[in-house]
Amino acid sequence: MSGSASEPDVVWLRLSPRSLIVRPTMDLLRLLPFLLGLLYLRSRGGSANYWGVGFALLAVVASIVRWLTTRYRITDERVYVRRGLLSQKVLSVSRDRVRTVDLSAHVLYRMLGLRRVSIGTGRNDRRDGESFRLDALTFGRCCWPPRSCGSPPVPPAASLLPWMPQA
Amino acid sequence: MTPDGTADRLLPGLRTPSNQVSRRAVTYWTARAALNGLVVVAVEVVVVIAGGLAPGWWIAVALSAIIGAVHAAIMPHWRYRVHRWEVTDQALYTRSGWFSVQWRIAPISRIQTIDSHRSLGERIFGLANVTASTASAAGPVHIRGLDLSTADRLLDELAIATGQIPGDAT
Repeated sequence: MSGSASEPDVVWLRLSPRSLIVRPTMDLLRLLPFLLGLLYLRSRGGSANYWGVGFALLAVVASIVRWLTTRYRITDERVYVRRGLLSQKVLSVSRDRVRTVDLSAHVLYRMLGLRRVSIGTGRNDRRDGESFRLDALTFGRCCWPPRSCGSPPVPPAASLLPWMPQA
Repeated sequence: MTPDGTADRLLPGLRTPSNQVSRRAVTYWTARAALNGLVVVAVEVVVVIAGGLAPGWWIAVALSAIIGAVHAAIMPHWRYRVHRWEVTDQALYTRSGWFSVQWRIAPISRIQTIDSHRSLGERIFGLANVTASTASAAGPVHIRGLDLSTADRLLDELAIATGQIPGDAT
């Protein structure tokens, strides 16, 4: 068994810094109906707008903390994901026990050259803190439309596992 | 692995899955989107009439009819350009979606069950889909909108490929 101690030279990597743009934006969009509701309440008299600003700030701070506290690394044997601010958690899976690799990208991700990468194991990992989800990694340059970008450098995540169909 | 495929413009580093789905899938998706749009509009018409709403609400009904029509006209062709699949000697690889795009890669050595399913709509249009499960918590990998002979061929191909890998696919 080769644990983290036997492969100390493999560095822990961070998620793409650009995900700092995506996550707060998505969180704010999700909060939008709520914020509009608060705005409506405010228009009827009250101090509800402070709550709105507070929740928006909270969303931004939460994404920054999530980015700062999430790291991953891929050794010859295993894939590791480390997350958590107060209670820290290190997840690891043997590379030959990985059952699926899912990548997804909606428009905002594509504009920023990001892809969300999820590594599927046999474990039921619905909860965010317990999943091998890397949201998001850099896949290419930040430009729009994508065909104007030329050929971007091959991202390290493309060779995450030996059986991935590389170009 | 030999770099034999064309690079995926949407996913640098990985290649575009080599096979497209059946052209008939476009018709199927169009029919399904149109039907869904019609149901929505029909419900709205009933609500406006039965609820005795102001005539202004007909604008909303017309608007949703237009959105439904545009969706049914654009989405299937867009989807057809995105949906692709490939079986390599090591992995099953699919790309799907339209506005948002998903890629799924499952190693052949982890495939547990392979099955094919045809809904009523798919049967009408002569289509089939193939599902390969790998016991991943992320769910099985689906390839939708295949024509019948391709689906049969794919089932055989996957069955042979999984049979050739020693071990118990744990």
